[in-house]
Amino acid sequence: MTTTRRLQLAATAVVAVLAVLPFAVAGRISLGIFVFIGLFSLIVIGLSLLAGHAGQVSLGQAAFYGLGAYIAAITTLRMGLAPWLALPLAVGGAALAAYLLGAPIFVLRGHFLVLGTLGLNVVMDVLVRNVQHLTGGPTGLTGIPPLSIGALVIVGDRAYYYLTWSFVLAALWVGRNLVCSRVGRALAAVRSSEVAAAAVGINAAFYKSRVFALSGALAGLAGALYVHYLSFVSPSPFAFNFSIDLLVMSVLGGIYHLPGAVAGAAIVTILREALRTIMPRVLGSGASAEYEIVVFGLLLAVVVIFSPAGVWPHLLAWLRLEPGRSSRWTQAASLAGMLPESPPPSPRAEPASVLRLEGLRKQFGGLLAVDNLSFEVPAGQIYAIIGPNGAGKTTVFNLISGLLRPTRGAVYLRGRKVSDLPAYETAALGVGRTFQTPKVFADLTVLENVMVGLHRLTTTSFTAAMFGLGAREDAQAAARAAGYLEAVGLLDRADVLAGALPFGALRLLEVARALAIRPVLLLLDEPASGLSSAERTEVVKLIRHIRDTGTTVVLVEHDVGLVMETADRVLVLNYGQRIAEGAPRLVRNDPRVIAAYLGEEAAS
Amino acid sequence: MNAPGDDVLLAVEGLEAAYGRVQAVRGVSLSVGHSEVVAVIGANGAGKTTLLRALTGLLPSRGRIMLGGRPVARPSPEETVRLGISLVPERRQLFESMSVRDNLLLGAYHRIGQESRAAIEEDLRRVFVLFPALVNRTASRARTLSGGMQQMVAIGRGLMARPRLLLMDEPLLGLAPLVIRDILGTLAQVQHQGQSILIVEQNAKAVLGLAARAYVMEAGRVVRHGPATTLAQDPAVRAAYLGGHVESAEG
Repeated sequence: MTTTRRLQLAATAVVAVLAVLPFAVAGRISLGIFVFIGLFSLIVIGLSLLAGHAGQVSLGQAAFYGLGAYIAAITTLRMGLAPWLALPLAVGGAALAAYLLGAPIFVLRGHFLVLGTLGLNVVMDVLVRNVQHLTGGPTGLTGIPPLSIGALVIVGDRAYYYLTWSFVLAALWVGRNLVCSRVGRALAAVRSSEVAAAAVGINAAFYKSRVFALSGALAGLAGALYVHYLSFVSPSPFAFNFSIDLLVMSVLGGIYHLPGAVAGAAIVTILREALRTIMPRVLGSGASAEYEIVVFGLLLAVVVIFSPAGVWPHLLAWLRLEPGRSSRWTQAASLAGMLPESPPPSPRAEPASVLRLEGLRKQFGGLLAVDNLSFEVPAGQIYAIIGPNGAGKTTVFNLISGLLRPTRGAVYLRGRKVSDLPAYETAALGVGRTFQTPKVFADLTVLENVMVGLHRLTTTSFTAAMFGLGAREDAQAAARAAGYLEAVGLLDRADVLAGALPFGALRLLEVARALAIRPVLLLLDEPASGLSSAERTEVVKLIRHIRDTGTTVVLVEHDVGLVMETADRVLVLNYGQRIAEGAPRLVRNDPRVIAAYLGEEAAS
Repeated sequence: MNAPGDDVLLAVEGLEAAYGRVQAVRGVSLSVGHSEVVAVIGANGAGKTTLLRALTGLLPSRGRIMLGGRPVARPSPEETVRLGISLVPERRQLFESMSVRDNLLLGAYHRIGQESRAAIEEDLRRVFVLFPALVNRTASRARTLSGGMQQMVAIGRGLMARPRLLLMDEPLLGLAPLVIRDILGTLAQVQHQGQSILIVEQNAKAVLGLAARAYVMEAGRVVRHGPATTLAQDPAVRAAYLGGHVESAEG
């Protein structure tokens, strides 16, 4: 039996168990605990998308849970809105709040982001406790009507159980669609390296705000269901420590796997209930709450140390349900040569120079890295920049690709000023690049890395991706990506995780990814550095091939032999200034270049 | 080929090292004599860096490692430094936010308290004599230095440990030709002062000029070894690692 078949069976079994569970436990366990597991699962699925898949850890999810709860409570109780109308309002309100907060809050990164989102809990708590005429203050609101549609009133544990778990399954479906789509790959790229994501034209802020809004929506949904279920709301369940609980559930279950969210919510909730019953028996009554926290802490420490990816991957391994890595693209990839490559960018009268730098200057504090630099790169050439370490070569690349803003001067691409554009827009205009230390998306496959390179040439939107509407485009993208892998000789490793590639292959993969954006200008930062002689020979061939297919290449390289073999023109920098420019042979014999860079031996 | 007993500083026999299930070094035996420079060349993924990690105890390994006739049993990184093996790691790995001087002094960390301050200061002076370019940058943060200067600091830091054996991992990577020439010159000078060096390098042409002997690694094993001049003439080695002919024939 194939793994796919087994997975389908397992999923069916889970749904069946969920369906009969209320009848199985009737009279023995309160169904309420399963309603809560469902509610928490919804929030944690959102958190997994945000933290696990997009790499943006938030400790503020309880605030959106509370926001949804209070919107539902206030609109139904104080404004007399029908509950079925209040539900989308709560979801939309929480999503909108998250979306609007996204722009300022995602300026922060890493632990600063965690602290920033932590603040959301405080703001929410203060608001709820102080706007008493709306929220009822610390005592909260009672008598919130249950959900109802027409004459159908949803009351009782069983009804909310089925309703909540239907939403959980829907959220898992939406989340899975998203993760497996163009958008999911963009999120993974942002998580892995924002700089590399920008270099293929991905606007990180755009996706971060949207996935934050989605996580807010799921938390808001859980909040609204919560108040209609309990008909009561007070500030304490949405306080700061619940945000931590949510992160604990997420990490414990497995932050990189959406079903892990459900596993984490279930483990924490059931364990807490169990400890509440067991602890007083073991230790005598009293002080049980403190011991419960100690056990939790130990459990979390054990999981994080021994299985940082949570319990879910182990669960899959134990049930022998580990999916084959991205086998879903393998078939598409085999179409590589068969799909006609879409026509090249419309042939236009190329201006004589593709790239022009005018009086470019870049200052880092007191250090002048680039000093009044002007040069032009003719179309269809290989243009090399050489110079001593620290001469400003990589800084020039960063200025051209938009990762740095010039202190003065400008960069023009085909006559258009690009030096005031963000890096992702410069990439979208056709500037591809590689990095001195290869920045590949290590936890995506080799093929997926190149598919990320196709980001700007594909169109599936965030919403369409949520509903799984990009499958056709994805299959085409996979086939096109396979074509680029074939060009660099990595097609046989398409399904390998990029992080597992040897160093030489990483450089080739970066080139394939940069080619996928269909660059008019390709910047290669030390493409042969760290390569063996055989690999270097391949790279030389590849660079020539890229030029011959119409892409202008600018390369920074210390391998003077390679530069002399490949370059049509050479620019020599020293201390951020041009000291020579021209045909390789002329530059090589220039006394200033010999003195500053080559040394006598290498020149002879 | 190996130097006879008394002259051998480092003797490695049947070294095995693995990352999880991936066996990266398979039964490697090699030796380094006193005041000798020995090179290890080979393609990416041949196991060169893993070999150095095993020798310094950064990675657990099996097999015999003898330094100066005494076994280095269960090497740990701190222990191997104390025994006299110091590593100049790949891509420099400086303490980027610390000054050049502090980076160098940290190389002598295990000597502080064991030896006089004056002895350590004397070694510091020796490093600045070897790398005069660093003299004006002693107070600069390491991250503000150019790649070439960073590599000089990394080598200086390795020397500050006063090692019996200096291990170097790709010290020429990403450096300008002039800097490569300078560093090779300095290394020759250091060797002349009696320093034993085991150097792993992709730039085979440069390193075969410096080393007395060399080992060629492929897929975790030593496939060839001998005097550097002999290996430099070996057609198979030339084709695989020196390149020259292959490319000029094409260009």
